[in-house]
Amino acid sequence: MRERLITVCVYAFCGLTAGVAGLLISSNVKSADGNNAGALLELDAILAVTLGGTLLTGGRFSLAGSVVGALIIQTLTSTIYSIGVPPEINLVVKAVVVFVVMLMQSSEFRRAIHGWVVRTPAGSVP
Amino acid sequence: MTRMKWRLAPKMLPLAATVALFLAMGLFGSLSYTGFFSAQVFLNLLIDNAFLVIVAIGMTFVILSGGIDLSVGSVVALSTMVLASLVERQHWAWPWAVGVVLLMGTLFGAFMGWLIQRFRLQPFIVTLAGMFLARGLCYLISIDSISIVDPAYAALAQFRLPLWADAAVSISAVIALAVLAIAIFIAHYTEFGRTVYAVGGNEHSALLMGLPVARTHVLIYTLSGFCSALGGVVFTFYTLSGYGLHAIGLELDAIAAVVIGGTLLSGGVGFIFGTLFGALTLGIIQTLIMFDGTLSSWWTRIVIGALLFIFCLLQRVFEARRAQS
Repeated sequence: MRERLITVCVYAFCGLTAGVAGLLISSNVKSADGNNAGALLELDAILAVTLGGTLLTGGRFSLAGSVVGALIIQTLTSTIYSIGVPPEINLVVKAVVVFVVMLMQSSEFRRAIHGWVVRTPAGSVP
Repeated sequence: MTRMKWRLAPKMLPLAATVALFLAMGLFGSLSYTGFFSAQVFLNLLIDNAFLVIVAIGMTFVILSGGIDLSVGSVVALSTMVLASLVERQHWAWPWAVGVVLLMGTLFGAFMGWLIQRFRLQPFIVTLAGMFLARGLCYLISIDSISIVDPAYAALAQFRLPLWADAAVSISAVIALAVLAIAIFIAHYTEFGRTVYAVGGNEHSALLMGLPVARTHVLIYTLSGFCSALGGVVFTFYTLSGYGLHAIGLELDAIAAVVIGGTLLSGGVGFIFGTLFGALTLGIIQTLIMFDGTLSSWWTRIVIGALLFIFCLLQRVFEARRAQS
């Protein structure tokens, strides 16, 4: 496997998609803004990917899942806007969702939950 | 003895490069701009960057252990916000407010450290989520800037400790130097400090040596959280306000200060003292651009980014050379 070439290509592709996204954003708002366009977008991107079932440790991915993840996030954002909760709460909700998804992916966490739910025999370490 | 000195040399090389770079920049500024070479300009470097020095010192411990903490900038912003709202809206006496803020930052760091250690999550993702959580909590308090007009607090912020002639330092510079001294002591003369280096060098062998790896992991992020909160308090001395958009991108500056200060991103190698010079180097870039007057302040960001790239490459060169010898 040409590992080095693949690594370079992966980051180059990520830059390309970020560039395309930049074009889309600026065509949407018809302006360019170095301070606010795409600010704090990293969390949304990571959240979309993890919600789509990609492991944060790498090795398992699903592109279709990422698309569904992105749709879920946009739904979450639109819901927060439309039910009258202040939009500032958006960041907190997303951060909490990332924490939850992250924990659910952790095998240690699943084991711990299993330990809490299923009673361990007396004498053993929970 | 001479042999041992010889063997220590490569370890000190990145630090020496940073100090040389700082001195060269100082020399360049002194020769190019009138009024640059004065004690107060150099003291201002420390005064204006005190919060960066404090945050970067916390970050040094994290990077020494092989981790990363992206939440520092947001924790600084959250600290300014909580402090400002406690002092201005709840009318607390400032010492209590500062105490609560420091406790909050410490607990926030401890929580992230616990997640990272207990559930084997990657520090990058956990602290990124922590970054957004803290930033979001700022906006929950207020979306506007809260200025601190409490006279006692303003007096504290404007207090200047005269040194000699007309040179003086602020209370934030004194705090930064105190944190530096304590951090150097912790890193080099305590069990915790040695464990941090051991974990960064090789976590598995640190574990086999019977070192308290798990506890140290949590403590590292706790320490970084505390330093961020203290950095936030010092930041309010500087701006006298709390705002959710304060310190955006500070995590980049802190990481840059640590890396330029000679600490390897892979962990295990570096000095707290180097971080001071890393932060001061960032400060002197800003001062040079300010003295020049024709460049936009965004050039600071560009130069810092470029410098960071160069130092990352230099690190690889140093590592490759060490592997050869």
